[in-house]
Amino acid sequence: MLTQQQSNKGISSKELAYITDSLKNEELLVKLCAQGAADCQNPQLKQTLSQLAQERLNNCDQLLRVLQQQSYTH
Amino acid sequence: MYQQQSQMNRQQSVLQDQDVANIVLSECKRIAREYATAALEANHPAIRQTFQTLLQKTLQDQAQIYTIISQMNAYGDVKEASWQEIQQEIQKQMQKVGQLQTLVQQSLQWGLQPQAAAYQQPMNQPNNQPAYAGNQSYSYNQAQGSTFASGAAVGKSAQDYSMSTAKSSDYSSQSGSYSFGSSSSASEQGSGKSGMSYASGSANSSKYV
Repeated sequence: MLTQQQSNKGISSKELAYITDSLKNEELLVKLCAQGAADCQNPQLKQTLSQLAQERLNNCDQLLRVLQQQSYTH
Repeated sequence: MYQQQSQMNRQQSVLQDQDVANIVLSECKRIAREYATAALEANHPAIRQTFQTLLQKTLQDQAQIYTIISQMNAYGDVKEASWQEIQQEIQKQMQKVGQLQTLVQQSLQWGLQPQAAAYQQPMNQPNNQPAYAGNQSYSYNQAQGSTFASGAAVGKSAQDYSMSTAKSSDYSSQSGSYSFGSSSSASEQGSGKSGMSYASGSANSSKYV
């Protein structure tokens, strides 16, 4: 659906900053969830946290992918 | 505090289950806010889409962890609004919405005539407005083009919209509810939803330009 012009448009430095910040956030949350899953006693919480850790790791991948895709247009 | 810890008989961590869960909850909330800001300020459609998707995921995760926390009774009291409070608010807001409806009706009836006259004006002097209107719809398409398939149609109605509002400045200053009157008069013209979404689009695109 993107026009030629839009798909060729590069990424702004503001967007880059947001992606970097988001990656930092996601990494922190992955660590937090992983640690929590290891330490927690409540089985339900344990399971949710390990699931969250995995999901958040996928989010990191997604952010990286979008960054890589944009770098091709440069 | 210390008693509680020794009772727990778990000395490797100061943080208890509910503390960890609450920290994760706070982080989810903070991340959701950041994704919302990032999506709002994104320039590239693909990047905006990514932030939007991640915001949605974060909201889901936050809900999930909140459910567990409330099941653990670890969130504290969530105070319910009293019946009286709700009734008072309903009364007040119904009155306000009623007034607003009257105002909109008046603005619409009032605004249609000057607008019809204003619509003629740009036709006579096409040299100053069309450039501006074209520019507006261009940046709109850049910002929102990927989400709306009917980009061309929207652009056209946006042109009409910006022409009419630009020319009917006397109307807006007198009615006192400029944005309301103008956006609903745009919908009156048949541009409907696209006129409204154009208004939000231009608010965003002013950041890009």
